[in-house]
Amino acid sequence: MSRSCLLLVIVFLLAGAGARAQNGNGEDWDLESLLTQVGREYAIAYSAPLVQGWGAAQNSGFFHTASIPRSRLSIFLGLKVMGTYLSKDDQTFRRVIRGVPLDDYFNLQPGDPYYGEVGDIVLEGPTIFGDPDVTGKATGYVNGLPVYQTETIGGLVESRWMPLFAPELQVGGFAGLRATLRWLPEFEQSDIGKTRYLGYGLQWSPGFLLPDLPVDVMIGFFKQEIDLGAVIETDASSIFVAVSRDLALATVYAGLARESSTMKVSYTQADTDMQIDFEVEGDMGARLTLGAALNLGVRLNFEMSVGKLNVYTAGLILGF
Amino acid sequence: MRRQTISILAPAAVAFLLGGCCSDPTAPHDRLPPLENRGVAAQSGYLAAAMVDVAPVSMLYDNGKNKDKGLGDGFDLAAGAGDGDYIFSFASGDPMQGTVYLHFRQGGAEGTPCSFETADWARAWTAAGRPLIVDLVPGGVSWLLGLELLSDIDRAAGAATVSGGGILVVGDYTADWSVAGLAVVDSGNWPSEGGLTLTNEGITAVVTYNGDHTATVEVGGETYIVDLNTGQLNGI
Repeated sequence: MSRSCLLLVIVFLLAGAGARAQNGNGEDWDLESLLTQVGREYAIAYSAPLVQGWGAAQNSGFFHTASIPRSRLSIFLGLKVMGTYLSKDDQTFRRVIRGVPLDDYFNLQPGDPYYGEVGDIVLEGPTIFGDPDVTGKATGYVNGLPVYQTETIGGLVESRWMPLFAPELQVGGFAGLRATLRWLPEFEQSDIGKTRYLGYGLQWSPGFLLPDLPVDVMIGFFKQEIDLGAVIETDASSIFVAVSRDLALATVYAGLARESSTMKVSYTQADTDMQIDFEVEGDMGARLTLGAALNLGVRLNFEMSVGKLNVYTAGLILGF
Repeated sequence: MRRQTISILAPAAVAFLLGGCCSDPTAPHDRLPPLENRGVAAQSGYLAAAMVDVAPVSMLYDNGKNKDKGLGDGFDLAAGAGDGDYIFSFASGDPMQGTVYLHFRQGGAEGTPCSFETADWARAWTAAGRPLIVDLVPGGVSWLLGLELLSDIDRAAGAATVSGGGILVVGDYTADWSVAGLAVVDSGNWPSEGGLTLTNEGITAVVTYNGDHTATVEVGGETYIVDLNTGQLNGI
């Protein structure tokens, strides 16, 4: 499968855990089968760009205007495509664990050199978005000497984009309120189980109370859950304030948001049969969003969100 | 219309200026564990042991006769004798693997190229990107040794004095090393004198060969003895 096709698979199937990659040896990998080959610490570092990029992308694209009618039905049906543009540094990682027994990481047995000794572990290699043809490694050091080393896993998809898409329905026009729903029907992926996507939120514009303001103003919140089988569960929430101004054919808008996200990852490590569970919170706590929507019969919007991570969002919106 | 275009493009421009184009990194990029004196001493101990095998290579090269010292019999004459160019490959099973390139001269470094049998000066080096692979440390992690050694050879005495240096890749660390005045003989004895220095992460270890199977390692006011048979340190 070509890399561009692979990216499409990720975008349109939301299949972070089901996405498959092929390395230079022609071997197929998906995220779960890669993770099962490594332990908890390695998995956390390896998947960090996915975890962080996913949360930032999830909390994007909630509005394309701050105008909400007071008492006129307003319905928008849209498709939002978000992409977190990751740092180049996110394609590799190095995690150092100091002062731990080597036995825990290299399955040493009595009689093996350095059995029972305490040393430092260096885990490094490509992240999930790194080169699939480069293999990571875990190296154990004792007194500055590398004494054990094992190969780990390669990247899944070589990319700096963490893409996501969201089908969205917005219904408003009662007391300046607008409800938003993001939803996908549950579907079964054979290797990871049921995948589901649900998000909901509410926005309110006090414009009818403040008719003389030069811009429309809106506040709102949004909560989301995306589960990829039993492997990945994500939660995201955001509260935001936005302003917009209508021009002839366009609406320019801006917003500030406070947000949070978490991702839980669960898998069974292959060689130890140990259940690995970890939960990581998103680093992105706030963002500034600037965007514009063109009204050409259908609405096209493009926005950029600036925070610890930068997210670009494009939307195609039908409605009135 | 122009005003509207500006209004639409302005947010994008502001966002780009605010955010640049890139996000902050999210994957960890931890610093390597800081080395301590003992760690650099241990590295220099293994290098000192490796040098016992590598340093005499110019003198011991004899187109196929096994002079022992762990060099094995993997000689490989690459070119005609007159141009002074040879290559040496370590034997299978040797703790060192790889190829050393050799150039022999008569009349010192500025002399004329000659065969190895008549040379009184030699240069030995590893090609760029093709260091020796050294397996000395128990556990099985290979080191990479890049070198360039210059030898003044006294054929009659069966001895040579070696100087030079190179890099040593030890796991994630890369050390610089140099050797000076290292007196080696072709009879299988240990280096009679000379020493080497190894610097890694700003810590320098100085190794002095003791004329027997040991060498003394000094680093940061600490002293160790290395057993050249194994490369391992004994604290004193």
